[in-house]
Amino acid sequence: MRSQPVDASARGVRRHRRGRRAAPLLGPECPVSTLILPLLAILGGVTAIAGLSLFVYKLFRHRRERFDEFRRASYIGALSEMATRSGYPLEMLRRWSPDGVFLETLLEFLKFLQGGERQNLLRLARELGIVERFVTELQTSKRRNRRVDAVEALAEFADPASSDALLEALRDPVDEVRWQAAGALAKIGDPRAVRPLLEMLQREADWGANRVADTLVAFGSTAVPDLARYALLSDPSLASRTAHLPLVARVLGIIGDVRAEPAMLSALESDDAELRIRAAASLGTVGSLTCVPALIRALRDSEWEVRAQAAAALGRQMDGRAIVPLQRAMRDQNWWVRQNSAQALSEIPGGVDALVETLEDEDRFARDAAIERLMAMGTVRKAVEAAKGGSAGEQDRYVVRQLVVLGKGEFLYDKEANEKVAG
Amino acid sequence: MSFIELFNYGILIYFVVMELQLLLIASVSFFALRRDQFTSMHGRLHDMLTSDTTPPVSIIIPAYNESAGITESVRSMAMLKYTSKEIIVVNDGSSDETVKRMIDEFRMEPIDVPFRPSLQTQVIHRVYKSRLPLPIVLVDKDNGGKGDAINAGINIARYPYVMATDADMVLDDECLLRAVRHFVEDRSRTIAVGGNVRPLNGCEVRRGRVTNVSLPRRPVELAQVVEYIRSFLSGRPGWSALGSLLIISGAFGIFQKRALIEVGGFRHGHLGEDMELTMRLHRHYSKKRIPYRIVYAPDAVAWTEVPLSRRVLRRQRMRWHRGLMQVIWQYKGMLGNPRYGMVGLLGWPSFVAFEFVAPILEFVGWFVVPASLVLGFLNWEIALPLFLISLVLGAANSLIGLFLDERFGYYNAPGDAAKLLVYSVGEQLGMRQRTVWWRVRAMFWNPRRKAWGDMQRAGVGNLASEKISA
Amino acid sequence: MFKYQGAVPIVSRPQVLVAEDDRVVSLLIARSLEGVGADTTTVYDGIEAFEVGLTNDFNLVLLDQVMPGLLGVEVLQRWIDDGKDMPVIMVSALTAEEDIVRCLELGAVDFIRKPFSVRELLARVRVHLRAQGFDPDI
Repeated sequence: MRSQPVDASARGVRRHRRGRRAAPLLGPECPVSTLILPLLAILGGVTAIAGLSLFVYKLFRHRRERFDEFRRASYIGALSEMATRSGYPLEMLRRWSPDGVFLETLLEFLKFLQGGERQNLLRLARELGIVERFVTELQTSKRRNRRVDAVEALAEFADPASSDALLEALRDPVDEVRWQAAGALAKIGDPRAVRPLLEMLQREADWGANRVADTLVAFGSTAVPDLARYALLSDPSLASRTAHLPLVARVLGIIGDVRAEPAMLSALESDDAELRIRAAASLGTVGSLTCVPALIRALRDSEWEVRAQAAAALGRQMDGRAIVPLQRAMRDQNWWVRQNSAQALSEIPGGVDALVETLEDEDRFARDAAIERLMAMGTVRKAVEAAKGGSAGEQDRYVVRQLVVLGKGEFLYDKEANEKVAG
Repeated sequence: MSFIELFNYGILIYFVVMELQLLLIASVSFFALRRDQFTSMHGRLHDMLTSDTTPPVSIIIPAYNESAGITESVRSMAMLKYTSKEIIVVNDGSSDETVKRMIDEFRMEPIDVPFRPSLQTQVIHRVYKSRLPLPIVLVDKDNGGKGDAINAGINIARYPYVMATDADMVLDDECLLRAVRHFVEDRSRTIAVGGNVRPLNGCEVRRGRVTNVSLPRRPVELAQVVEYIRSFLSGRPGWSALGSLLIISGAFGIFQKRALIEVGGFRHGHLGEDMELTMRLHRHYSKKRIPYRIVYAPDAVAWTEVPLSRRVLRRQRMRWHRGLMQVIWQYKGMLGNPRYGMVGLLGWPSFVAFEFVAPILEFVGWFVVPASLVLGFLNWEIALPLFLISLVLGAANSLIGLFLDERFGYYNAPGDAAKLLVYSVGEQLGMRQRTVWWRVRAMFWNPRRKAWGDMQRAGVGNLASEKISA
Repeated sequence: MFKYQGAVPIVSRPQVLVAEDDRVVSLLIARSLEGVGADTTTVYDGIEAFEVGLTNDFNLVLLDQVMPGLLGVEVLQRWIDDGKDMPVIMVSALTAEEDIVRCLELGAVDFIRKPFSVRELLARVRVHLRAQGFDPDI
């Protein structure tokens, strides 16, 4: 089957010459075949050239990679030496610093280093003029990949000297450059960047907005007034886009400044489920005791994630009013809501008793969530040990008995304790 | 012009059109790949690793008689770079020591965990959990096939996203992160993400990780490497960009759990269950007019062993084609139906035209065209160039796949590069015809006949009965 | 679980096992430990770590959680099962509080989160070595 067709057609060729002439439309003079043959030649030629050049490129790449690997090994050794000591031979480094592989290795080190070692390497980068080099690259390079690399490196160095160039880069046409620049500014912590970043947040679509919002977290309380105005849609100069409100709510939640509470409370009443989720989550950190009733209401939201976040937030508020509603929430359809409610109960004073009470709930899922939380807290282990030691209080006895009833925690539960308590 | 002539030219032109369509999709793929900038993505991935908005994922591994490799596979899943994940091994009624191995290695203990059976499955006997601080769960259930096992895993899964995979897949460190990126980017619409599956044959694997990528030696495997590259790099990115990705590989796909439960999970005993599921998702969401996305992530790489011998390959391909026909029959109503948007108007029709009809025409063509030439019905000066053009275009398509693959930087050794090039051209003569023959045979193959022995295998794991020592 | 044997002064150099699959990180840890006068043995995968730990006595083990072959906690569990008592510091990027607690309950003496500062790591290493009676100045 393989190459037969070609042979057959070749045979057909010879016969055909002797045989009858084809219809005039398809003769050798006909425009179709004069069109097809050159087309075939061009196609074949282009394919062959493309294939060959791919081959050459791959060869070149292979050689380069092997050479890079070799240098990388020596740089790793040298850099780990320099990171842990304070002195280093500057002359040799000058020779290395134009090498891309050296820079890559340096950046890799910076990614997992913290503290003094990081400072050592940062100082080294400054002395070698690496930061300025990347700044020029970011400002002047026409190639997008080089700008991305440069800004990524600057984000790693987080040198205040680069912040002007980075502010400019917030308007770069390449999205990755803009996002990385935002991240770098956040790392530097330049307060001038808050306004431009908020303006940028409006312009960006989904993922970009996400990234920009994340960077705003780093500014902490400095950014809160602006953000809260944004969230309340009350900033005249920012024509707020409601689509990014959940992001702003999330940022406010992470920063955790109480000035954001009114904005979050109004967001909790929104029609947008995503916004309600984020608002409920942030009320855990920005909220005061005034927000507890609203959060309790949110435990009956139609969206499970709102309920789950509200439960978690109530745990952070540690208000006794929430105990009964949380106990009810432990019968929720959704595992997360049950889990978060159980966790919240364990954080609220007096909530542990409610958890133990739930061990008798008629709902199987509620019981499971309760026992799992009690196990994670160590209450179960303590109860079992107390039972074994004969010092079990009323609650310990109760927990162990429930363990037997629920057939739970095979590895914590032990026969001896069972006999002592139940027997 | 006689009827025979017309028929012949029709077939030849069809060949050329098919290749041109592939070229067109390949060029869409080119732009899609360019837009995504995978190489400069470290910043984003790092952000995802530290962000609290990255959703937790349940990894489901169906296991049927996998006692040899199951623990290795679980470890390699545990090593994936990700924020929070749980690993659910579903023992699908194995007759070997799969459960015992898992219990011994990871100190599993039976737990009594209540769950809602959102999907119907075979009886689940017991659920185990690891005593070590590792998020590993083992589900022991009656045999019901791969789809059934995954469904059971979905019932047990706690997290809002599930990843379906096979025990013998070798995953890249970042693959989960790279795939989930699409869910993070567009949380409300994305319902499924498929990854890039590459042939493992010839690669060096150490402790559950691919440490060195190179090409296998046997021609059967080599031709498959070229085929995979072409399909996964010049085909799928384009279709994904056009919003009509029709297959999410069941060996490496990540789904929104809610969406899976809504459409009823995997179908049991279907020969093309992954494609069937993807089509069902398309149909469900377009019917309900809910905006959705099914995306392909070419940078999320998983490696799998492809058949080593012709015999096994033939069986695999025939099974695939049979499954494909089943799916086509099931979803024929979507053909050209504007209600289903891009899928109904573009993706699905062209899939049917070039995957199902093409083999038939091609098969007929291989007999009729040479015969007509011999008998003098045809003008060789047109027929031969046309035929050659379709071959050259075919080779060009494979080459484009290689070009698109270049950004990922595999296969750079001189020998490998040369082999790939030779095979991307050589595949057009031989491998292609052979596949056509298998596909035509598959049309007359009755899957209910047990003689093929595929049904008992239940779709778990790899088809290759002979395993390469990785 | 490992228990310290009281502070008996020891003159010899402390033996530290570094089990970490990332070559760059492990090299960095090893270099800095050598800088303060400890002898280090480096292994890159879990199975090797388990075997080396089983046949040798180390004064301290730095165990990465995510390693090929065997995961960190598995190595620890197996040492405990085989009656091997060594102070083990887990090093990991996993951040869930519960996992850390469970690691410590399993028998690790300390837990260091990645990314870490080398100085902090050294300080913790010193604490654990001093507790075994090594020279406090190392």
